[in-house]
Amino acid sequence: MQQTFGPTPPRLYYRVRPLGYTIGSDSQYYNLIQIDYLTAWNRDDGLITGAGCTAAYGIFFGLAGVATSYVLNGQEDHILDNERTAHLLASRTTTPGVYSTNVYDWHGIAAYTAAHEGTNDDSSMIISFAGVGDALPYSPKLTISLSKSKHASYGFNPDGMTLVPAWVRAAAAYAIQFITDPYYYLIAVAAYETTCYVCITEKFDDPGYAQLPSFFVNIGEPNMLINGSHWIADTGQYSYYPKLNGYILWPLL
Amino acid sequence: MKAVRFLRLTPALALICGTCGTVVLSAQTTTTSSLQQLLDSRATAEKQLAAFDAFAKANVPNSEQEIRKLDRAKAEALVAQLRALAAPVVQARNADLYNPSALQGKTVPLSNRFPKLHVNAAIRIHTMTPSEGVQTGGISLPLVKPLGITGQDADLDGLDDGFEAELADAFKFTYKVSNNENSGTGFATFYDRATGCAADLWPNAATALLSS
Repeated sequence: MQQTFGPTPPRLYYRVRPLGYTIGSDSQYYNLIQIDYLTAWNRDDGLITGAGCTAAYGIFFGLAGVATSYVLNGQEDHILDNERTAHLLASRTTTPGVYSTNVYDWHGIAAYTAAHEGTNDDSSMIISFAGVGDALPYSPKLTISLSKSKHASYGFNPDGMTLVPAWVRAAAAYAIQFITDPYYYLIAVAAYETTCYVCITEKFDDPGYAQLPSFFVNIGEPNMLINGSHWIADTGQYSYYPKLNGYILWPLL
Repeated sequence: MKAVRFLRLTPALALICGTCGTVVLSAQTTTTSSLQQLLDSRATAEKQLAAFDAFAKANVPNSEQEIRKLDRAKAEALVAQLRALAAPVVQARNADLYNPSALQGKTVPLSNRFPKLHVNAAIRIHTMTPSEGVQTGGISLPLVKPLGITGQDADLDGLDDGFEAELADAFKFTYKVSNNENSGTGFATFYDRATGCAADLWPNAATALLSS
């Protein structure tokens, strides 16, 4: 790493990737471009359980509960934190594959907000603005919220959103059904709710304002890196390389 | 959801050409693909789980003491309602509908030219529309920097570098960064080399942290 800056203002690298073409709902050809905006942090500080979790666990499990909340706090921290968001753009054309160089010909169709991308608690989302060919004169200017500590990206305030994957929650709900005593059943449900919706959740202290990035560098393509961006090709853990080489399965495609 | 609706109405799916690195699109796919069925089943299962969670959150007291205060009849009635809501969750769980890896490795029939789309982890992505709580600054004109065409394509992707800069600038998002990040945590720049990013950061701690 060359230099670390503060968390604000955001500093971005970007990559512009031609994606080919499609046929829109109006039966016209549209060229597609995906822009990846990379927010490269020096570290991920791990899960924040918070005081609410410590208190709730303390009530349920006594000192063992308090200890559990402290053990959970900071879990999954690691150095380097390569996060990204992406924008899918479309431009109407009569010659598929020949890309217009007039910026005003392009329209934002969807956004991809990566959150814990490629992990078990992957909460990445695609925000669909319009279908290709639908009337949309200009793109909505989406505000991306970067969560506290984990730096996952969302198109909304993610504070309190559970990070427990659906399959784990479903397994817990399944296991609870074997409890016959109604009081123990309800205690188990309450403990499950506290774990999923108080402790293992995304945290976000809303700053109340959004900022434009202050630093903006084109990295080129993963296999043809430019502007001093060969660090992208680092194939160590948490690297960008596999993410940028893969494809986002845009649902509208 | 709009995206899913669109996928149904416009029978076009992405075909991935691994060798040339581009996505080609086809209008020859079937509307009732196995992928679509799996996505629909997963969406239904997640809604059922959300209903169970929402009811529990709203009705179950959040401490053991409060729960013990409930009279037995009321506790049993609450449990009966929760069991009813959990029944479809249990069914979906038994059918492996919550398991993301159940979708991995599935293939979807597409055109004759590219017969299969290999489904990967990206299928876990949820979709949502701007009307579902997404924050935007309203509709606005792109903020275009007059960079112009440079005649250079250093990354050899077929797009002019000046155009790439202009487009990326025009469509960039605005960002809210959470307050109260830990001291020392922030955005980083890196040396122009393909190895050792982590070691650059904390030479002594990198190995220990990465192996933990």
